[in-house]
Amino acid sequence: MLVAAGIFPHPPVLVPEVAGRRSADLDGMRTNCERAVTRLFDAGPDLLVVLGGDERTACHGSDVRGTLLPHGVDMTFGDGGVRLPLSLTIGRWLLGSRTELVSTEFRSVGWGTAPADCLELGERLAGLAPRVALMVLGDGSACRTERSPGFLDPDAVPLDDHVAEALRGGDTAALAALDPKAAERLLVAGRPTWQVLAGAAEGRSPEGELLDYQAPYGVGYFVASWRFDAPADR
Amino acid sequence: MRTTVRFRGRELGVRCPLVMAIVNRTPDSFYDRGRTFEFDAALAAVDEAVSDGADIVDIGGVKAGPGTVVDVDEEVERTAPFVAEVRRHFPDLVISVDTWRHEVGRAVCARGADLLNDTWAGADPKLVEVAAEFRAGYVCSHTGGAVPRTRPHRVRYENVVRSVIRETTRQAERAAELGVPEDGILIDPTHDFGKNTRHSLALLRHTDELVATGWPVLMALSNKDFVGETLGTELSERVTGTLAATALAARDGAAVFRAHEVRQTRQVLDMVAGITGDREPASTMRGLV
Repeated sequence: MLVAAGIFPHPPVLVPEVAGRRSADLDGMRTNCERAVTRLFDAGPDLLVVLGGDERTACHGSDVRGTLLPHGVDMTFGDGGVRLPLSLTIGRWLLGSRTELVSTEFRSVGWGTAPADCLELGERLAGLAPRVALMVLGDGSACRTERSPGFLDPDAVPLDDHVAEALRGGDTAALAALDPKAAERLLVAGRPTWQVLAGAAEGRSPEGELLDYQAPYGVGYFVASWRFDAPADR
Repeated sequence: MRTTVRFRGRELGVRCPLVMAIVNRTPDSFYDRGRTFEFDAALAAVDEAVSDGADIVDIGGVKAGPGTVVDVDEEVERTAPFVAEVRRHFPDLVISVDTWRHEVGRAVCARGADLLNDTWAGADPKLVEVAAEFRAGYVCSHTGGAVPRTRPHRVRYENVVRSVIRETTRQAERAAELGVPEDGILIDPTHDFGKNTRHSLALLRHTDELVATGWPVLMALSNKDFVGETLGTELSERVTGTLAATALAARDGAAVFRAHEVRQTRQVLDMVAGITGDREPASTMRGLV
C-alpha cells in the first residue's frame, strides 16, 4: 500500500555541476526536492520505488548506476551493474546515499504507455510491499515559450497549470485523464509516470502539496509531495 | 588527404582552409537579425565578403531555429533570383545555398549555385539527388535525426564523435554513389544542431578524427550557442570564442569555415597556415634587409 509519494523534475541541469555558473537558478528547487525526498523517508516505507519515463517499461532492480555521459557530462551516480535512463539517473542523484536506508527498486515506464496500462502498473506497484513510497520523476511541457526547446505552443502553459493543480490537490482523476497525444505533442515527459502515480493512489484520497512549480528555461518543473492517511489496519 | 575541392568546375585548394561567408536573405536569423534580408543589402554583403577574403558564399533563405513558417515558394523567391544576381556579378565565386528542400536546391542550381549545404542532414532525401543531377557539391551534416528547425532537448549519444563520423561518412558515400562528384563532397559535424554544448565541444576536441575520414571537413562554428555557453557570453560577444575554435580546428585539419566575420576568420586561418607551414608569410622583411 502506498504511504507516500514525491513528484520530481529530471532535467540534467538539476545537477549543479552540469549547470555550472548558472546552477544557482535552481537552488530553490533543489531545496524543495530535498524536502520532498525527506518526506518519502519520513513515511517509514519498507520499499521505495523510483519511477521514471524511458523508451520502454522495465524493472531495473536496485543494483544500478545513473550516468550523464550520453549528455556529455562525465558524472555517474551509484556503481551498480544496470545503467539507468536519464529520468532515473536524476532520481538516483536525488537519493544520494539514502538508497542504503531502505530497499529501493528503480523502474521505468515507456513514454508511449497507454493510460490504462499506467494505472494498472501503479496499482501493482502499490501492492509490492505493505508500505510503499513512490518517487515519481516527470516534467511538464517543453513548449511553453518561444525560447523553449520545443518552441511555443499556446496549449503548453494551460496544461502545465492543470497538472500543477492536480499535483497540489492529490487529484488522481485529473492525472489519469491526461491525454497522451496532447502530452506527446507538447513534449510533456511526465504523463506516463504521473498516471502510474494515479493508479498507485487510486481510492486513497491523498493530501497533496505543491512545493514548487517553475519553468526558468521554458520547460515545466514540478516538485510535489503526497501524504496518505495511515492504512486502517495499522 | 584531399588538397583541392571542386564545385561545378570551380576548383579551390584547401591546404590553407577556405572561408565560407554567411549571407542570409532572412529577416530573423539569430546573428544578423535581418541585416541582409533586402536584396541590395545582401548583394553588398557578398561584395564585402569577397573583398574580405571569402572563397565561398553560403546563401540562406530560412533561419535555422524555430519561427515563422517559410514555405518552398517563399524560400525559392528569397534565394534563386539572388543566386542568379550573385553569379552575374561574380562569375568565379563558389556559391553555396543553405537549404534542406530539394525544390529549392533545384531552383538555385538552375540559377548558378555550385554547392548545396544540407544542414538538416538529408531530412529531404531528394536534395542529394538534385546535387547529383547538377553535378553540384553537397554538404553532409549530422543532426542526430532532428526535424528541421527544431532545437535539441535532452539529446544523448553513446559517443557523439563516433555518431557524427558514422552518419556523415555514410551520407558522403551515398552522395558519391548517387553521382555527386567526390571532390565536391564535404562533411560537417554541425555544431549545436541536435547537440548540447558539451557534445559540440567534444567534436572540436576530436577534429582530427573527423579529418582522418579523408572527407574535407566543414566547420560551422560562427557565433553559435556552444561558444556563448562556454564563455558565458551573450550573442554580441562570441566572436573571440569562435575564432579560438576556428584556430584549433584549422590546426587539426578542417578544410572550410562557415563564418559571419569573414575578414577576421581569414586572418586567423592565414595565421594558422603560416604557423603550420602551409602558407608563406605575406612578407618577411624583419631582419632580412
